[in-house]
Amino acid sequence: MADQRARLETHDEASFRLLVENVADYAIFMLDTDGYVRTWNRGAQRIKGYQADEIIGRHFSVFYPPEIDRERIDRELATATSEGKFEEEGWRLRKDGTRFWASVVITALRDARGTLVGFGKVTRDLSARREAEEKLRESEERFRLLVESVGDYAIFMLDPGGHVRTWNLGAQRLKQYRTDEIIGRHFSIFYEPEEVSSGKCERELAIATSEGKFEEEGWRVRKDGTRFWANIVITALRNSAGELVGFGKVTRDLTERKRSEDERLALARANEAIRLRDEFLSIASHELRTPLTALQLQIQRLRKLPGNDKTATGLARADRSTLRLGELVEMLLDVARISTGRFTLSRTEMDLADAVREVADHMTDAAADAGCEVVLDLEPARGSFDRVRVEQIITNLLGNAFKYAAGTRVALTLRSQGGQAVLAVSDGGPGIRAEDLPRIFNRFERAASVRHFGGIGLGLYVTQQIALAHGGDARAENLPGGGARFTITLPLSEGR
Amino acid sequence: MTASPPHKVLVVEDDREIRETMLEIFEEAGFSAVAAGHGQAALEYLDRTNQVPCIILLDLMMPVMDGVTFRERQRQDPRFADVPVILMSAFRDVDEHAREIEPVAVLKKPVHLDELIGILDAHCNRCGKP
Repeated sequence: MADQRARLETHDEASFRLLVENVADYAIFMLDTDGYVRTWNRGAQRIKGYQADEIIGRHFSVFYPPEIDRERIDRELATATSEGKFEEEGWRLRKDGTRFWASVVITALRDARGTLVGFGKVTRDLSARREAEEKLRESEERFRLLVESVGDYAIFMLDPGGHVRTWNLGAQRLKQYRTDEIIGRHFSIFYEPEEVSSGKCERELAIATSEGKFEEEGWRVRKDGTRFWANIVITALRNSAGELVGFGKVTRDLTERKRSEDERLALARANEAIRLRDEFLSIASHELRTPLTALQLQIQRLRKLPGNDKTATGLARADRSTLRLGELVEMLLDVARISTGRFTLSRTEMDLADAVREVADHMTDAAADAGCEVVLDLEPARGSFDRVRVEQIITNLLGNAFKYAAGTRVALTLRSQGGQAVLAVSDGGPGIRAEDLPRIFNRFERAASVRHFGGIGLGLYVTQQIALAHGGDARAENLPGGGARFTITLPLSEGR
Repeated sequence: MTASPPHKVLVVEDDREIRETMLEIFEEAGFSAVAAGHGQAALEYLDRTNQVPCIILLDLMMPVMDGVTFRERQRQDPRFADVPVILMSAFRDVDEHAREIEPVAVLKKPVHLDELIGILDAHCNRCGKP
């Protein structure tokens, strides 16, 4: 039995030696108690570069780089002796002097009586792994530096519980916290209190966890309490085992974009409101015109029929009122035409002086009613004008003077100079208040209060628009000696 | 002004109040007046009448058939092609279509009655028709 066991053991030992000798990936060899190499295998030869006959009998300190002193090498054997094993990773030398990163295990070998008989040494070349690790570390470092230096985006990490773990320049700029103030704080600090209490933060992390990503635009709060409109992406970060290790959060400030969008919307709404008003104005004034015409015709007809004096006086008043009503409706129609771009001229060759004389003649009664003396000083001004429209200008300006400068002298002058007709209406009234001058030609503006004077404040607006449509202009000023002057310039020919 | 039989005027106008008022006015001024609410009705009247009017007062915007179309058809029928037309158009709003109509006068709204009667008298006395 004993013999058989001895044989078997001998056989096993032989197989084992063969196995060890042929292992190529590990250097496996034995040292004697003093550290001298006693055996060598294929792996040792491949990794360290020595043939067995070159190295057997030499001290194992030849495998160490020069910066590691002999004392430390001896300590390794002492450790293995006392602890049973010494293990480390470190630089080792090949025969040709090049280095490799080695994983080293030195095991104390003892006989059956416990006497130290030597050491087993297993060495593995980890250079490739170390190189890969080094590259990864460098790449991570570069990436970290990149993220840290991004200024336009807040890019940072949260732990699985939502506490800030990293911070970058963009985060500091956007949210105003320094790295040392924010690391470890819960990210709910960036939200408005009511959102925090509604559980929004937890919901966002839950969505990111289940769907991989959470994205939204919304208001966020800076350190100083001000708000900004942010685009936020929260991404769940998982390790290779699929376990959640935290969240990446990227936040962008879109306040400027939101502001310009809001302004654009407000402007569009305002324009739409103006368009609706003009459309209403246009439809309403058109609709008013037909019954007004019927009314005017009927009143004029009744005035022709025989009746008593009272009826005649009443119908005359009614006739004047419908005429005034008609003028107002036409004025509203003009405003609607101007604001919808449907205001067009129909020009003919004419002398402006004739039109001025004609209108002034028609308005003799109105001048007398206002107690105004109208003085004409006209030179011929032949050109291409829309007769109806320039008559309207003169009517408006004279009517204006009769209304605001009643009882004064109204002077109408017409000159033709530098290719332009210049028409001026001056009165001896109170003039125009300085604060009203800049807006006197605006729509629905009136220089005097509604209590004193009626009218819907469109006459001067329409007057200026007619002048502009002719390629000219209208302006108003106060005269040094009191009174106001309105000046209209109209190019004599159409060419622009 | 008018001898018997009276001159005939055709009013083509879609607004009933304006139309009826004009009929009253013309009757009272000594004309014989007829009216139609749109161009199609006016053509039908001209087709069946044995007394063609000496003048037509025509509105532009009307349902069924507008003023321009009416004038086009009217001028295609030799029986009444030469009847002149007075265009009734809103003040300051003489449409460019008005040129196609070639009216003898454009009556601006607001209408001045004396002016209108004057125009009618002048044309009807000239046309020689009853």
